[in-house]
Amino acid sequence: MSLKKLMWRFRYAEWSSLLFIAPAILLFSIFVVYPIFQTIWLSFWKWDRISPGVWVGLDNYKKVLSNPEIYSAFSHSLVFVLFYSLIPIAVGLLITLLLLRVKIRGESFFRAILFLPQIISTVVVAISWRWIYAADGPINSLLTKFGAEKITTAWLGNFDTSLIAVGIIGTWINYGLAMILFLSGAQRISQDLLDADRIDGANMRQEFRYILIPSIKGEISIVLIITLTFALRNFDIVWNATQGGPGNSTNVPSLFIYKSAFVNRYVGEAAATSFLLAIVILSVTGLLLLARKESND
Amino acid sequence: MFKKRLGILFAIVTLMITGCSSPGSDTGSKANTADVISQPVTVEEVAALGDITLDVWADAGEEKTMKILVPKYEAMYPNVKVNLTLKGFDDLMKTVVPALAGDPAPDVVQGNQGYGVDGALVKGGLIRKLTDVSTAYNWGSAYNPDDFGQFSWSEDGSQYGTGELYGMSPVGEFVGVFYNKKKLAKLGITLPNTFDEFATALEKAKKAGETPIILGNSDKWPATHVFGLIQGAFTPASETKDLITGKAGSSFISSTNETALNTMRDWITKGYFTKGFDGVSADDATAKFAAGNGLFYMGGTWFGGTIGEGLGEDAGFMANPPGASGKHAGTGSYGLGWHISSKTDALAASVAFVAMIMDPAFAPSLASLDRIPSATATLEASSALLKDMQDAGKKMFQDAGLTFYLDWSTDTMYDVYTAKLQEFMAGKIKAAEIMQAIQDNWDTFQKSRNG
Repeated sequence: MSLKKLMWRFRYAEWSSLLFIAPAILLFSIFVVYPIFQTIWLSFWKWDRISPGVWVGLDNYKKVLSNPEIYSAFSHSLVFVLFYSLIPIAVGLLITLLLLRVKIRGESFFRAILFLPQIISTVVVAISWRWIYAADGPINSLLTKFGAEKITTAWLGNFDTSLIAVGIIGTWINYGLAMILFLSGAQRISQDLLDADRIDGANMRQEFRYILIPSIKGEISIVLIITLTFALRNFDIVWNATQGGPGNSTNVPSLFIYKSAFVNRYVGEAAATSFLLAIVILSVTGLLLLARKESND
Repeated sequence: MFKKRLGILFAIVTLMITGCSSPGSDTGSKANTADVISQPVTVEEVAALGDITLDVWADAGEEKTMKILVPKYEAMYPNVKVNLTLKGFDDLMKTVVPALAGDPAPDVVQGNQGYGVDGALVKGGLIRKLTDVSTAYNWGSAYNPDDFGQFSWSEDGSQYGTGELYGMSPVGEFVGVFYNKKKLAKLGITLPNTFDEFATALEKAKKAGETPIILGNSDKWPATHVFGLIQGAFTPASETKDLITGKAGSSFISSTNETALNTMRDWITKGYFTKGFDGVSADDATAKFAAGNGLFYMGGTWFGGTIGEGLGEDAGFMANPPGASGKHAGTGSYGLGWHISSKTDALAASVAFVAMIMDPAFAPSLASLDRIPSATATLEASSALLKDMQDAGKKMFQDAGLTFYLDWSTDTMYDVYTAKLQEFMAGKIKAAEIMQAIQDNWDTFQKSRNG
């Protein structure tokens, strides 16, 4: 929408209609808009939650941006985008495609099972995976059984494997969401179209490219936005699985915010990091929405 | 019309921004410092407060102690109802400072020694000095006054280790070496008396195919306790304490610390610790040792209950084996300090509460819960393991060997120390690099503290 159009709407909108959504606006303002403004406001102060705050302007932003650890934390988030978003989408698409072609008995049961990781508390998930990944856990037992003892390790405690290991937990949680949304989208595809396509001799790849993807484009972008946001602001899985360790090898921006705000009481720095993280997330989702709109047009 | 609407929008945004007033401007303390305690508080003085509720915040680890203390207190001071809030350690540390800054604040709380929590409480004027209470109750004779430094601060909270007393704890908590007696006998190893003998015992155990030391370090802090033990054998305890309390000119960069770090790394290379220790939690490691795995477990006395329950008569505990100095030293301190809010309206009741838990007459109750009373009087131990821990405590207290916790030294030291130690243990950085990182953090903090 152009700025001119927006201004026109603003000028001539029927403002009395706003009364109907006033309760929602009020709640949204109190619980979402006000905290956002407050966070931005706090990011300009040096405050330890005890003494009166001191106005420091952009100092908190300078401090955060000059900390090399924050860049490595953001780079870990980018790795998580792959594991929390792109791989689950790929797995979800694959399962959807398979279920389109192959009818399985008790499909809804399997669907429910595959969706289960989505509804389990992430704390429970992280702790379970800590056990699965342990040096004497089931993964290493299996590897030992198959003669691969040499590659066994404490997957979450090893600097070289911890980031990927945490990423895989995210994949396990998110692929169910992708699958369920894709399957619901795929139900819109008419059976006639699929039959005609198969009579014409389309193979799986063609069915995937020319029928499935265009039919569930909307669902794909929704899953992409949800999982990308999850990947970038991820806290609970990392905190409960590794606390950002070993060293800082799985540190993410949310951990910085948590520690700054609640452990070290550098509230201004925590607010500045939060605002920067929000900008990154908004930019990424904004770009995705733009791309979606353009492809729709 | 358009201008009017723009005006409304502008007003909303302005309201949002101005609604965010200067942070912390309404948290100023209304310090209740006028009343000086010159004599032990009497029942009549507390009764004069009328029917009141005393808000007490404590660490969840105090639950059993509170179950004994609170009924005793309420029976002695029937006009007071104790409203006890127990919180997990992490939760308590994150909430106690803002809680005392808020209104209404709890009357009595537990903090944590060092700049992170107690330092903030003193700096913010949120807790009351207890020097007068200590004098009135003569804590100096029941406890070793040399140990009071860990609760002492200058009034502005800038100097730690000296000055006024702001808190106190009736128990000692320190890291020592738990051992499995049955396995020691099986391996033909006699209990080591020195650090060298300890290193030889580790070597012998490894050769016999045993895991010499059980360690779980996914929580990041357990390895710092192990390092504290090794450091105690090389670096004089006073040097470590000077650094932690912020004494000018202190340094973590020393040849003794370097030797300690390299010894730790050497033990890792030799496979003395649990395989994949960075992926094992502290609780899981303790459970493993309590189930009979491994020969030694370097852990705090607070694990005594779990280990004693698991190993039974086979559980033993010894003080950190001393290095060349012959002095027992290592990570440890008094327990979390008890503090009185500077805003309390029930000063007499608060003082009576803290005094009751600090009373040496309460020490047997603490010992009955497998805790190590820091009072100097000797107590009868209820189990062999507790006796071991009490004996070890005596050695540590006598040698003034409790080196506190390095993370007390600055408000961000915990993050730096734990992360760098993991990197060092994994061979990612050298001893010089971790020492420099710790020193840089300390220097930066001292600089900011001294303006």
